[in-house]
Amino acid sequence: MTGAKITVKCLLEAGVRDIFGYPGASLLSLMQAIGEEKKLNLYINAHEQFSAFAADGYARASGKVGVCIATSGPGATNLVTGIANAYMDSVPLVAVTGNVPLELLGTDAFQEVDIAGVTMPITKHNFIVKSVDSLASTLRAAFEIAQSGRKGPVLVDIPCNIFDETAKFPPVQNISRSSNNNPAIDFGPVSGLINSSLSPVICVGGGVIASGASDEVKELADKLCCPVVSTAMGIGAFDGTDPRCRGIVGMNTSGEADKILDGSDLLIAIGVRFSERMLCALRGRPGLKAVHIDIDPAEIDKNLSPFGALVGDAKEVLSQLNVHIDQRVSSAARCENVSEDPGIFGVLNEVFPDAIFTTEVGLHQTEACRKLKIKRPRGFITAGGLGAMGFGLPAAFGAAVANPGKKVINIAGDGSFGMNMPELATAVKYGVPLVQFVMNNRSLGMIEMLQKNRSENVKYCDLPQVDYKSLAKAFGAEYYSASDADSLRDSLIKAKKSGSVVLIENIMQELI
Amino acid sequence: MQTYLLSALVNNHFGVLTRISGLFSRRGYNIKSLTVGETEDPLVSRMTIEFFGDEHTLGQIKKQLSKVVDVINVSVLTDAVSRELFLVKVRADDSNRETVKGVAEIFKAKIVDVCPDSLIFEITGEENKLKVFFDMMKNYGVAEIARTGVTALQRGELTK
Repeated sequence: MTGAKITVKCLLEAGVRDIFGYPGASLLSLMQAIGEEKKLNLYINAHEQFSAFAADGYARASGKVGVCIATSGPGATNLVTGIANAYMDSVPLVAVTGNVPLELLGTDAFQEVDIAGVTMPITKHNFIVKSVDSLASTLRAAFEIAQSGRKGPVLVDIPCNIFDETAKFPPVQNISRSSNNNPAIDFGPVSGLINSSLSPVICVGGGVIASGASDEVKELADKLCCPVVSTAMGIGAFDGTDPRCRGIVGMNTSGEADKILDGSDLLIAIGVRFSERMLCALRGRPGLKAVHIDIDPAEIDKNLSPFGALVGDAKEVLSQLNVHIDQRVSSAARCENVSEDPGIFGVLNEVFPDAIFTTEVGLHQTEACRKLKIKRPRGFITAGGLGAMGFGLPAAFGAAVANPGKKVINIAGDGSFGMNMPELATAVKYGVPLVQFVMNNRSLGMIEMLQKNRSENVKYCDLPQVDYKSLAKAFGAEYYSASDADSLRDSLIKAKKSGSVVLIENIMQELI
Repeated sequence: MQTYLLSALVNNHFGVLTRISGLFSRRGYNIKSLTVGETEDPLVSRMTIEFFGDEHTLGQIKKQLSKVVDVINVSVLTDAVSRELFLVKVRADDSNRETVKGVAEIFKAKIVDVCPDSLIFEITGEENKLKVFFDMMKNYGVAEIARTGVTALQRGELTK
């Protein structure tokens, strides 16, 4: 069997059905093999970066491993931002890159880049396959590593001659990785802290979604009769329409979440990494202790020394911890709901109560994090750690491929849309009926705001004036515009009924 | 702040050293020395890492190292035999060769090269002894020095 066929078999074996990528000379044999396999769909994006983002969005929306492929050299380096994005947000991704033939490695051949060297700090692990005999075991290991423990991206670099060489397809070996000889966890200290706290608050992070621990979090909140706040990555882990859900904490906090923290004495942080943006929530609140539950032992005590900690998968840990938690009697709400006016986001929620939302990066993103109400895990996809502009539209494409028949709406600013416009044509080409919702304020709003906050002159934030109606037409998408709540509602309802790709331009009177 | 020794068993592949040294530089862990060599199992190498700092950073180094796929096991050595080897080239001619040799004998340093105007000594031991030897030799004019970095093994029972 050729290396190309071995690769295809390994992808099928790992449950892969959809791949995102871009053709190139080092992938010729692999592309033929993928094309001959009816069970695999290879989506060609407009740029390799979008392939990585699409695979990322696909993984976040489905819980499966996202797969992207790119050719050697520039194809591989174009993946880098997407891989870094997945690494920062712990998204399971397998990136396969073709490279120059083995005998040319290290000779600075045409389109040769040491992509394994480049991606070392932004992957969980990476491999260079040096023999067709180790191809299958390497790909199997890549999928194993991407999904185990704290999830993340893995890159497999394959010199192109290996796709043409032949080897036997080896059977799966059950190598029991001697990782989980978990010592029995002592729940006493943490359950003691929780049971003796007067006014606890739960904070959910991306780890709750990765682990599928939403039911267990709800059980804990039910027992403690306590409010739940979230990080940007944790949005949707706890039902956003539940009155106990009180918004996001940290730098971009909702005022409501801040009030909740003011009145709390214990923060039960689950599946969060206490990034500097989130740590703001604890600063200036010396009375607020934290307990930390996370799957990655290196996160405990990295940025914050908690009063108690449990290491493990959130679902497994919580299902056992909850047994030790005393049921409380529900008391009056700790503070009244002081939700801000959700504005545009209220209308989005009203028309699309069950859609998947993705975002780009900027003011529209921070506002969406604060104001959208997301009911379910995997219903909100945003570049939390890396903050990569241009993520949203390809991520929406990936999310839509993972969820046929489900509406996916990408909330974008006009700045971010400028970075990934060609992806609209990709969505049209494949008939993936996503909604591109552009909040057009003709500015890089977040940078403009930061400059104003520093009393600086606004510089370099003005954006090209694009005729989005013509753009939509040129790309084959439907176009609707909106300038107030009523026209927005009308446009969104039209988009909801449409089976095509829709571009909605929401003309902003102010920055946000 | 104190000096700690970590011993890591790692897969004996190309690139593993880069992964680990990259991890240290990326996270800003200041290490004093790092040595690596094949173990009794040719598929496994032992890395000995000498780190000066606080306990919090030590804990982070240990945890971050343990996350590297190619790392099999990491331990902080508490009661270890540690050794380093120095090669020291000292200025020595007919006028002072015997004196230099005499001092070296006290430290059990071995002469491994002789030239009309220099000697090379090989000396192994714990860091303190080597430092004192080196300071003594400076009196005669040290031309060059090459150090291996510390390697170490925990005393007593098998740790694997």
